[in-house]
Order: sequence, then C-alpha cells, then structure tokens
Amino acid sequence: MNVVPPNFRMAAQRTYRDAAHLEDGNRIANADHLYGLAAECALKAILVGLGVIPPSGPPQNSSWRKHIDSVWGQYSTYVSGHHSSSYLVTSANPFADWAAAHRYEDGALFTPARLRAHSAGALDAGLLLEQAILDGVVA
Amino acid sequence: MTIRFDVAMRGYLDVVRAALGAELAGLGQVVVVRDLRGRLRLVIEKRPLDRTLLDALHQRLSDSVGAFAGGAPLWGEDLLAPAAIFGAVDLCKVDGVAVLERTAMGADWTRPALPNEAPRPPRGTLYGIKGGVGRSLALCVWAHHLAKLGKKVLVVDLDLESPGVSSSLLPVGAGSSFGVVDWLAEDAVSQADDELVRLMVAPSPLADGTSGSILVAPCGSEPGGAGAPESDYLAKLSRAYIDAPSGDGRVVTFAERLARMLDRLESVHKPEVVLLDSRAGLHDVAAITLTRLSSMSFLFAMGTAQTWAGYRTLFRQWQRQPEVGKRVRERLRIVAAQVPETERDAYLERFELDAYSLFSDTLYEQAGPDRPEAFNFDIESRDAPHYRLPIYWSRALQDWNPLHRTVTDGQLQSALGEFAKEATDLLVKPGGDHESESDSEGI
Repeated sequence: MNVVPPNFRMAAQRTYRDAAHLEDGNRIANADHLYGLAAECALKAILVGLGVIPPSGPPQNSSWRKHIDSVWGQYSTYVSGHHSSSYLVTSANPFADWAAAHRYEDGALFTPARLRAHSAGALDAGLLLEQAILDGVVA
Repeated sequence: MTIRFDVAMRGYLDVVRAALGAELAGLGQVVVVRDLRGRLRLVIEKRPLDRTLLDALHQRLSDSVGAFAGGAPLWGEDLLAPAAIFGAVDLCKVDGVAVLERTAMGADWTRPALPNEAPRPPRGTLYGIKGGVGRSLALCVWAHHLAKLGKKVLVVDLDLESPGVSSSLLPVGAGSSFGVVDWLAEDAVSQADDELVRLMVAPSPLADGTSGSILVAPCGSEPGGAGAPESDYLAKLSRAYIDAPSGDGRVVTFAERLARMLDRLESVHKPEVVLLDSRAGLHDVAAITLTRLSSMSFLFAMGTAQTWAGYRTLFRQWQRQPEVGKRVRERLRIVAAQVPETERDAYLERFELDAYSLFSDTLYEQAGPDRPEAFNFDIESRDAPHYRLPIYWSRALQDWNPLHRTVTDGQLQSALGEFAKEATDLLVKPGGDHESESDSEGI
C-alpha cells in the first residue's frame, strides 16, 4: 500500500472548514469532533514548520497519532528558536475534555457550550497556523 | 511570597533531584523542560502503574514554582515527538538533573561545535563583552600584520547591527556588491550560490605593498555602490537571524547557516587565516562564533567591574555545562584592551589578578598532585587563557584611519605590536614559514 506523506496544513484548513459547515447546520457532534482534528493538524503543521516533526515520510511511528487532547498540552514543550514565541498557545487546554473516541458516543455529550469552547480553540490554533504561513515558517 | 524565575528553577530541581531516587526511580529518562515563558514541566519516559505517588510529586513541584508551573507531567508514550525531548541537542545536566531549555535566542552559547568542511583555515574571533574597546582597530592592525607576513587574510564583519571594520578596511567606492546580510537573505530562499559568494568580498588597499592580501566580507554592500544601488540593509538585517528551511524541508538554524556561509567563503576565496569581527555582548552571533565556529577567541576587556561581571555571567553558563566549557576554555585568550598611558604596570597587575580570578572561579579546575591533568594555570603563566595580550592605548590612536595612515608605523607598533604578534602565534600555529620575521617587522 502506498502511504502518502501527511500534509497537516491542508488537513487543518480543510477540516476546520468542514467543522464550521457542520456547526452552521447544527450537526454539533461531528462538528465537535472535526474541530478537535483541525486544531491537532494546525499545531502539527506548525511543529513541522519549526523543525520538530520531520517534514516528509509516512507517520509510521505511533507517536504521531496523538490527538488534540494530548497535543495541545505538550506543544509548548517543543517550541523554541528565533521568532517561535509568536506561535505559543494558551496554557489552559480547551480540548482537555475532548477525545477522539467520543465520536462513538451517543449525542448527550455534545452541548452547545462544549462546542463553543472547542470551536474557539480550533480558531486559535488555525490563526496561529495562518500566522506561521504568512511568516514563511510553514510552507 | 512571589516565587521569581531563578528561585523557581532552583526549587524545582531540588524537588526533582530528591525524587530521582524515590518516586521517579525506574521510570526511565526524566527531563525538566523549561518552556519559552519559563514554565517548568516534567517529561517522564515510562508511565508508572500507580499514579498516586506521581500526583503528589506533581503537587509538590507546582507548589515550589508558583506561576512558573507548567502543567502535569508528560509521559513518553503520549509524546508526539519523543526524540525532540529525550534526544534533544540542547539537553543538559544541571546538578544531576536533565534539563531542556526552550529559548527564543541564546541557545548557541551551550550547543556543540558545528561541523565544518575540512580542511579549513584557522579562524580567530575578536569579541568584547562590551563594545567600544578598540576591537575594529585591533582587527585592522592584526590583518595588516598578517598580510605583511605574506598571509591571505579574510575578514568577515559579523557585527551586523553596528558594521564597522569593513568601512575601516574598504575605502568609499571600493566596497563589495554583496555582504553577509545578502548571503543570509538569499540563503533563506536557497539561492546563496557561489556567484554571490565571489561578489561578497572586496580587497582592502591596506594590504598594498605587502606580500599578502586582505579580503573583506562586509555586513552589507556599500550604500549607493555600483553593485546594489537599491540595497535595503534593514529589510535584510531584520530577517537575518531566522532559522530557515533547507531544500529538503529540514529547518536549518541560524548558526548552521552562518557556518555554511563561512565554509563557502573559505572554499571560494581560499584564505590562509580568517578573522571574525563578532557582535559585542551576549548576542547570538557572539554565541555562535565563540562557542561553535572559532579556533581561537580573543576576549577584549577593560579593567572595569562591569567588564569582569559580564564575562563572569558568560563563563558561569559554561561552568554549569562542563562539556561545553571544556571545549571552549582552551580556545580563549584575554586581551587587555586600551591599557592606559599612565601607570601601566599597576593597571596591568590589577588586570592580571582580575582576569585570573575570573578564570579560576569558573573555568579552571582544582589542581593537585592527584590531578596532574587538571585544567589549571599559575597566575604568571604566559600560556594561560587568562594571561592578557596587551593593547596600549595612546591619544594618537583615537584619530587612526587605516587607509589614510594618520598614525605612524612606530606608534602602531608600540600600541599593538605585541598583540598582533602574540595573537598570530596563537592562531597560526608556529612553524609556518613567515613567523620568524614577525619580531623585526613593523605592523
């Protein structure tokens, strides 16, 4: 099987757009799930741009398969170097209560308040990614 | 009571060190990460079966650092990029605890030497913890001295925020088409080619009449010069220090870029000696040149409390990381810059004592009969890093312009002759064809 190298930047932008589309259609559960994936990809794209994660090659290592509930919290332990201070996230992890496995849950979990928090977190991560693209840090 | 930055680190390390033999025993690598905002966090390789003890440890750690608490411990299996923590180049031991500093600048003070294309000529760095100590003058005179010995000298001006040495060595209208900031700007888009490197240097007329030559790589092209009439120096300088992606997408640090620039300059122009004019102070350019690029660094010092305090700050950093300190310490030499015209002996005596205290308190090791290999020197030892090369200040030097010869050779010789000769002996290993001439030569 051919494994295509990840493109976290494209994945972040695409997933965020789809999440917003679902939210507009009041499809809260899947919007919530996609906001988590969008934020995860945005932060991973910045880490690729900063040289923390190798830019090419398949994500064979299981350590790549971390989701936003874990990625947000550890992100600041990697960020360093000239101008890197522009790409810090808030210390409080807005996705601490998010889990990839929640997509199998019934709908009771997905409240509007929870969605707002995750949507705001995804927007913050997306804006950081945009900044990194404009700065030429992320290709 | 508010817990401040330094107190936080010390308190945190004390708790971690005690825990290494207790709660943290058997959990593999343990790293303290201090992030860009100074917040401290534990990263632990193996997750324990019972988290209770670790939860209590985390609470104690958080209490010990107040606002500098960086969150709950991270476990190796949860890490996105474990090699960026456990295998990081910046990982160091502080009092027995592995520490990883995430910084926006200054990381090069404690990084390993950069690999260079071999063979390469000796590189001498002229550096001052404070500016305005006659570094550029000394560099020009030394370059001239080397040219008189028949050497092909390359001078690289790395004082990007305050270019100086190149304008002393190159008359108006004789500058190069490009400079260091141009190379860095072009390298950011992978087009710092050898054509650029060829056009980055200009010969200094200071070497006219000698059997050698002085090539100068200035910070930038000459303003309004023929090569680049629209040169926007500040636009390039403000981007000079970035880490930039290489062709294969890997991020190349500023230090690595600077090393590659020197390699290319040396490869294309083939100098026999390279002199680097470093930025003063605790600047990243100084960190890279002194710690990672230079064969021998000449530390300019005035006999003032501020100067010694500044060097002490730097040396203590190296002292805390002995593997870096050991590599750097043998390549340092103190320069007594601007020894005053009056009461020279008393001044030098005090200077020697202060320089010796600086080294013996930080980079020298305890000597003893059981430690014959200890890195240690007597105060009078002329081979020691603390032993000063003197530059004797005189009123005439204030008006010095190397290209107009406003100062006589005799005046220069008495002020800088000893420095130029001894610096040459230290940098260009004795045994070369020209060294024996230097005693009788003017400079």
